[in-house]
Amino acid sequence: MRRKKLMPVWAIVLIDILLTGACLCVYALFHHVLTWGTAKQVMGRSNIPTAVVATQPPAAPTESPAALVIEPGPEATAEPTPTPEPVDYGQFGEKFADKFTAEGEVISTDTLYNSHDVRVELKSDRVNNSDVHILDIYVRNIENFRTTFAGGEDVYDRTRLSVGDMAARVNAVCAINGDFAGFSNAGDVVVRNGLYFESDPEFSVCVLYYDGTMETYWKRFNQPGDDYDIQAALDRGAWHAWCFGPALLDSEGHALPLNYDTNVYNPRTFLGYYEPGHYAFITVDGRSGNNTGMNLDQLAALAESLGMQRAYNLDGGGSSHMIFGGETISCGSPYEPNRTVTDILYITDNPVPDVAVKEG
Amino acid sequence: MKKLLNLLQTAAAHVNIICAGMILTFLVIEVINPYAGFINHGYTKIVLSVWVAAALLTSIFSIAAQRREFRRRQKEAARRRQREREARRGE
Repeated sequence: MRRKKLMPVWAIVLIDILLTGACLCVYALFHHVLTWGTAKQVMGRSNIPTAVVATQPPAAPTESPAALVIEPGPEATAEPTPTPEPVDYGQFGEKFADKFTAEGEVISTDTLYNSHDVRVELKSDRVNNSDVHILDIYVRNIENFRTTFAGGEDVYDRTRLSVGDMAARVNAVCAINGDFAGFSNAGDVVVRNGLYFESDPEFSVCVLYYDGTMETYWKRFNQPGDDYDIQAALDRGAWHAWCFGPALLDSEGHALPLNYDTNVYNPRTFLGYYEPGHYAFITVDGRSGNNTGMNLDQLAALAESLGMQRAYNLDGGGSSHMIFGGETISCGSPYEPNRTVTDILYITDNPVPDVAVKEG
Repeated sequence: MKKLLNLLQTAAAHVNIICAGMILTFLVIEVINPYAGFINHGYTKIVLSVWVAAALLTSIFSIAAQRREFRRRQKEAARRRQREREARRGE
């Protein structure tokens, strides 16, 4: 009878390692690839008020003293008093009247785009051994500040496209990558252009409201705050909502002492807020010879130094990307210049919905 | 039945190692990039459940084997004592 031989130990160890690797591959297949393939449906809409058209105040009637009343002669013809035409200042046009040009006038240079509804100025600086690019943004209406997904602004799925391609499709004045919506796996909050898709926050949340204000909701820096409530946000008129973070500034505009990932220097993207109608898109270069990138504490310090009231970190690393005037200003990794992402934030002079084009 | 139990025992031991390797990998990735969200994911909870089941099975088999070994040693010791007694009587 043949004696059974024991398998050598090295063979058992090798087989276990190979099986572990195979199981990790299967896990990754379901974790990254074979997940929800169809688009998530719109769950609801924000309570967005109708746009208010500001009008010039009517001329105060002049009261003439009785002694000076002059009755018109028979030949005089009474001219009708012109009715003041309502002037559409938009939501923020009156406040930032000096920032916008006259109707129909557009100034477009390498560092400035200035029109009747939008002003975007590109500034670059060098901070913490990295190039920093800042788009200083003024919009007449919040609808000039839009977001879209790779498949269209109403198609929330895992389709991916480069920031440049999405920006070109929507004719964006400028654009940055978003929070890589749909790939969190840990939980997401997705409200885009007033459409509510999902709210299951695992990380801190940022909401841009239709009235132009921006709020960040955080607890211990990178957890959703107890004061975040999706229904309250929708009732208040959430225009966009993101879930990535962390929030970089506290409620008084001071840098939060984040104190984690302190040794992780990466390309970064973050959204800044000064006041309703005044925002900023910022990217930090990294992962290249003369750009080390920044850690989150440095990012928070940068946001505070720029005088922002709120600042919210978005997806960085290889996803970090900035487009201005159709040109790539910043890309996270020089080895992955056209990395595809799921969503972008952009400024447009022509706010029309980027609805998915149906083929056939 | 004995063959099946042996197979189950072997499989449980290897599943233990594989699940431990997977969870260790997720923990390392969690330190490097917590936004990957491996630890909190539903699939990871499935891996943990399988690991728990394999750990339980391995423990039960291990305890059963220990008790079997203990009883076998006791029997051997009793047989040895019996032989010694017989040998002394024969003298």
